[in-house]
Amino acid sequence: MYDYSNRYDNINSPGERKDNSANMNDQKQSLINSYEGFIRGNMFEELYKPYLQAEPFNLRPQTEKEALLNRIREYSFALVDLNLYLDTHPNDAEKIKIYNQYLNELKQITNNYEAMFGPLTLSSEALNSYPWAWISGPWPWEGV
Amino acid sequence: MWKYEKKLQYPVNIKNKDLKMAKYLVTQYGGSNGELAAALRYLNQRYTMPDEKGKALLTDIGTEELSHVEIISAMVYQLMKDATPEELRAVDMGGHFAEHGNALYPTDANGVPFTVKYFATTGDPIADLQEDMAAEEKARAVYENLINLTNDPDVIAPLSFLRQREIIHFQRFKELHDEYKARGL
Repeated sequence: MYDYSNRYDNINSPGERKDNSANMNDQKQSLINSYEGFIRGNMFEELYKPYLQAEPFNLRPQTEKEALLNRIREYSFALVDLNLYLDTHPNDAEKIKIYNQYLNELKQITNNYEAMFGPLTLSSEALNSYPWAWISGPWPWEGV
Repeated sequence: MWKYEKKLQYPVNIKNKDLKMAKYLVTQYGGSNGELAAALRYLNQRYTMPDEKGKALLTDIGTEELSHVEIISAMVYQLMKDATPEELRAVDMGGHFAEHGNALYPTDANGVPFTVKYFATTGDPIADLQEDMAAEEKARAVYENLINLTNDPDVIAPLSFLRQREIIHFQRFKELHDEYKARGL
């Protein structure tokens, strides 16, 4: 349904900036694309250690709602993982730029989702509706 | 403060009831190496981290652990959904039903209730971060044990995701730890 193949393919190519902060860990940590990173649970190529060489599980959304929600999860995950990296590498300008690119993507896709399927947070514009939309299920633990 | 987002960090859609797996898996909710202990460990230790990096990292990993508590809880809920007292009794969960009905409750795989004795705060950033690194490795090992206890891809997929998060968290704690060591903290 979505083409993930080319997004951010080039984000680590030449010129990846080395972090000059005081930490001693100078292991290379290059980013993979957000879909692959999400299904792995790890955005960093050199840090990925699968168990028993298992391949990550591809997502197989059954509905448009689920497919859109998975893209929200994908960009949210990229932000979570980049944020933890930036906490210990706050001077990596290239990764800060990528963080903000994902943040923009997340905002757009979240607006699309919430307009169609209701609010994900109590800051959503989709709450300007009647009756109170927040209580509509299913809740996250109930599956899709 | 914290804000709720009405979604799981990673999707959980378990189609087949498996009470035995629910009983084992609950340890990553309320066991000594589980996600609840992790969240409380980091969110308590953050106050005495010596610099901005440390305060940020402990806050952010502690926050992510709360979303992992929710993933494990959703898995246990779905694995146990609509279980009858007879079915629970058959897998030695009659005790759980007697105390809690079909509700969730944080215990380890042997039914021992959660306790804050599972984590420490010392006020010493090196000691705390070494505990955190060990905790991430222990949680990774438990995820591998759990993966070996099931064949259900609906269960293995989120467990693999969560296992990988332990590897990343270990890496970030180690980066902070090594920097503090180098600075003589």
